[in-house]
Amino acid sequence: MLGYFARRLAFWLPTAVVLALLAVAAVARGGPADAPIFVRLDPSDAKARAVGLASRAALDGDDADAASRELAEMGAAALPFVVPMLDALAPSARARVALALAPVARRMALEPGDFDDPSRAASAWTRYWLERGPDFRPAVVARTLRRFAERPTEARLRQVRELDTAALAAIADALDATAEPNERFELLALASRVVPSTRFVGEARDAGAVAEGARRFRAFWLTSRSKWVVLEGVPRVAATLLDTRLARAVVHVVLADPSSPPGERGKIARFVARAGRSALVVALVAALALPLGVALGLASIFVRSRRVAVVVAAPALCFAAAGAALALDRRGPGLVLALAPLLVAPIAWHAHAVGADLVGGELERAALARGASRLRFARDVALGSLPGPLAIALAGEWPLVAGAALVVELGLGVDGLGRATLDAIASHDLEWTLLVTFASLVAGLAVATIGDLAARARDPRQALGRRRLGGASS
Amino acid sequence: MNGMLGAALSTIAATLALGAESAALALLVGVGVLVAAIALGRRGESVVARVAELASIAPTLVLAALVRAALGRPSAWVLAGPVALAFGARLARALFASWVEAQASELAVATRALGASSAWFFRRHVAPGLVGLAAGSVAAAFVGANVAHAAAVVAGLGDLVPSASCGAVLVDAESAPSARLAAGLALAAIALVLLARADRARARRAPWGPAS
Repeated sequence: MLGYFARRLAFWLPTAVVLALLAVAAVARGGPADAPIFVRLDPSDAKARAVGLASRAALDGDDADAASRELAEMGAAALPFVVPMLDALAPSARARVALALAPVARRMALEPGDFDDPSRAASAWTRYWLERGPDFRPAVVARTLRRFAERPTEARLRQVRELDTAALAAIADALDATAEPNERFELLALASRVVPSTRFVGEARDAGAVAEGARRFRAFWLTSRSKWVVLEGVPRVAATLLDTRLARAVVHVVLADPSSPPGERGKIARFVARAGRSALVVALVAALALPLGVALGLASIFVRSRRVAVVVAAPALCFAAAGAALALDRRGPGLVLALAPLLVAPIAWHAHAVGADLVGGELERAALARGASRLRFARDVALGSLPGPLAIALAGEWPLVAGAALVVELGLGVDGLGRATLDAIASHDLEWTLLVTFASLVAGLAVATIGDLAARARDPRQALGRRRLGGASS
Repeated sequence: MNGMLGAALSTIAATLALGAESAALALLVGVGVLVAAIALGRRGESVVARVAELASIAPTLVLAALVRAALGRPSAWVLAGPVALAFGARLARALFASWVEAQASELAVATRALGASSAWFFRRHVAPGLVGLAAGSVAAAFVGANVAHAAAVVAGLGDLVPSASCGAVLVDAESAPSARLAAGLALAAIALVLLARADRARARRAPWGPAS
């Protein structure tokens, strides 16, 4: 049995990964192209980014405005690379780049005045960097942060605020180094202040909120690190995979999505809540279709002269029922009544096939010869033998059941997985796509495994394996 | 009147085209997988199992939405592809099971003992049974594609394929009740004819099959 599960998983895992990647590729197509989907062949780091943005901001035009905004968002992490560039630029370009850094000066709470003045901003930044540049060295930044986290006084807060985004790498290290919730809260609050449009913690300072905040920061740092630090060696190689949309989606699913408000439920929690509602719909659809299908299939065996007519007429009847119910009530319970019968035909076919093997065979002839009535044979033998083979046959119909349940769920307006999945595909939401793909694969694997186990329970020869039997096995 | 007739003919044409594309693709998938599985010998069973797993990853509608997102525009293949995958995988499984069953039958042993080749046995005794099975799956794929289109419209995915089939008209709230009724009847008639013919083909069982 263990070998069976190992074999199943060994085959399932590569299939699951390949299919998940295909689904991600399909959904990512046409979405925001802020990063490559799977691999970044030319990982960019803070230095390349800062120089590129400053070069673009130096030019006049729409692109310069966008570059200026991005440069301001990049903050103090850009200063070590941009300030030395200023002298090499033409006066007008130098003024434009220096002015693009004005929001950074405000965020760093520097003395206003010179940094907002086009004629004096460049020299103000050069002067500032000459005086305070050494404070931005990694070791000094780490010491400043440590002191702030230990005792967050106003003076120390001013110091760390001045470090702006240059402190992010040190914040990541400090968060790993300390377990004290208050210290971690101060570090996360500082990170929330410097990273644009991202809040890692809210007002709550309890251990749970801080732990969630740390998880959000880790998710942010794993996928955005290359924007704020210079990459060399292993981190640069890792950035080829981490600085991609797929990695971002995986991290957001597994850890947290830092762009969502603090305290909001994670994707997995939301997925589980919706999956519960969808499971109820699947159960409802199956409960309606299964008895009807089995009854129809069995009836088609016993009414032998009309077997073909009954079995063939089933789908046509279903279409008629679907048309009538939809015409009456397109978005109500009528839809369930309309679509559940669509499942009836395949179930009836399976029930017919399974039942036909039992009825009319040697077993029935022997029972009749011993004086049993056909009704007794059906009740005591045929019905009792039906569930196992029928379960095996129906295991292959899982996509059909899931599909019918999906449509019913959408039609009834149930807040389940269906609408969220279709919306996610339309809005190029890779996180949800990954979750749904893996969940579908797991559900498919579970159903197939149940089918296999039912087959083995019914026919012990299948458990012996191909080699010992010298023939085919499941 | 001419306009209505034109619209009806166009809907029928779209229904037949969508069904035919799906059925042809399903047949291609089913027979292709069978040939590959037979060619691979003992590993053939794994091929069939993997294709079946591939087809069971998600409901057809979700797969269709993924294909639509990948293509970036409506196309008949958006629905035909996932429908063909689902029905093709089922067909491949049925054909392969039938082939394995035929090989293990007493008839196969007897013909081999009498010196007949495998190719002769396949052509003479196996193929007729497989044709019946294939006919059933092809008919089901034909109908299934139109049902899937109806489901897509109900799900709010109306722009998967460029033109409306009978399935889409049947559930489209903006269609006139008479048009919906006609579409439902047309679809039911197509399903009835195709499935009856497929059932007749399936009734020509291979000699190794159990008595019905």
